[in-house]
Amino acid sequence: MKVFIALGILFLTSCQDYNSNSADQSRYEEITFPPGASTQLQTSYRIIKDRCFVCHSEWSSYKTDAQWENAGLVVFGQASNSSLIYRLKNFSPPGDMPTGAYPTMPNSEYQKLLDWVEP
Amino acid sequence: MNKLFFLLLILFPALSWAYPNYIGHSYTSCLNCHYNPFGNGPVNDYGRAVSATLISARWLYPKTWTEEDLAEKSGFLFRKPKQDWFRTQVNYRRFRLTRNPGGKNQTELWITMQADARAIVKFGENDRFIAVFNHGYAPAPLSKVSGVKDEDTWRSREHYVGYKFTPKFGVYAGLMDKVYGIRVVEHIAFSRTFPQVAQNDQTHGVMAHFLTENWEGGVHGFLGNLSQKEDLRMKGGSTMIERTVGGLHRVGVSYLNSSNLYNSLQSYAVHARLNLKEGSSVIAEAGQVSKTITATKEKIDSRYGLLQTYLRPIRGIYVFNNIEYAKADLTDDNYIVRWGPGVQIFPAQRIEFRGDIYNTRVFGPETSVPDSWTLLLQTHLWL
Repeated sequence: MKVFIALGILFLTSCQDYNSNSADQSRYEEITFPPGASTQLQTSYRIIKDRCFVCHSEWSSYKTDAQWENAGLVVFGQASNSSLIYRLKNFSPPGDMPTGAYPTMPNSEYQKLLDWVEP
Repeated sequence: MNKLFFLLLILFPALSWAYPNYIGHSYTSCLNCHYNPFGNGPVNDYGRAVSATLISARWLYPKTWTEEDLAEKSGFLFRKPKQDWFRTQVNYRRFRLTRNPGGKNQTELWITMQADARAIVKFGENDRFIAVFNHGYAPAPLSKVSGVKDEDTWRSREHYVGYKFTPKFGVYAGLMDKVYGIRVVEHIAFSRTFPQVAQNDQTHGVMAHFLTENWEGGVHGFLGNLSQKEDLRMKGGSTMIERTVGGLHRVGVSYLNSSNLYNSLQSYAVHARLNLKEGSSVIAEAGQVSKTITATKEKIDSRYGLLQTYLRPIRGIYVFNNIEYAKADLTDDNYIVRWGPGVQIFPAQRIEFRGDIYNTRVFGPETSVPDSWTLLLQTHLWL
């Protein structure tokens, strides 16, 4: 009897969410941009959301070019003066972002950010 | 709940661990030692005895103890079970993670990787009917992801029932690992993370397993992990088929197709497990994963590879080498190679020490990033 009680407890107490898909909603959900938002901005926003918002959640409200520029993160036409770009490990040492298990963001994503800042 | 768990941890002994590289001991099928026919999870009585007499060394035992004594002491309270229908097991695994060892940015973390209590109920000839319950600890991810709230770290690792219509055909239903590829113990392996079959990716579903003289395989239909929110659950199916080659080795193929509200995944892989005799083996897997993002219709193709060699110089010691390859986006120039030699030591039943050192290098025509180095020192205990 005690065995079945124990088994029942083991069976019923299952409650978890951490797995490979835990972040799918945050990572891939539909995002609404203001009218006129360029394709490069929208693409870059998704990359920044995936790679940076975990630590820089305050950036999530920046959905126009002007907001990114006013925040001092981007100088359009000047990647080397845009902290969003030159802080990246992809740009060159001493870039140290993003942090985490992988040393750098994929080059394809980095290129998309460059295409947005220096079209 | 956690107090009950630790009470079970103390009172009930557990069984030894088994790994895919044990093909080197001529065990082509995981069903030999595991209740789950594709491996992982609790180990059966035979697996316990194998672990005590073949895998673990005898350094701590009196010389007067025979191998039969060791096999008998691998059971509950160090003796043969007095009944056939119920078994328990516990496992505890903790390691020290050192990043950039010896460097000026060296960091160290102590992590409890695993603390499981398991219960198995079994009836019928050759354990025709089984019910498996496995509850334990899953550490929160080191790297948090934006938008994901903290969740409970105590969870059911698996719970399922199984029925073997014949010794070579069975059906299993419940929360289990997905049938795909080689279930290497290294849950951070690209071969586990890219197709999303890592340590917390168990799914509720129904699985069929078959075994013939030269073939073994399974088909798995699943609804995702029902404890997750419905929009996140990956629903779909998978299959894996292996063929015995030369009576010693196995080659196989796998396919997985799953989707949730936000993305869909298709994975293909080929693999091989080669027996080098006397406990030594080579394991390899190569695969491709296609992910489609529902909102943007963007498709990302990734590729991964795994090569592990295990050498057993003497009983109780395995020296291994782990080489991995990953290209997260086939349209990208960058790719990653991770190399990790290591050693496993089983000084006696119920004890494993393991050390790994990993070098991760990013290759790319326009990328210049320093290598990252990681040292892992692990202790694994089972009572």
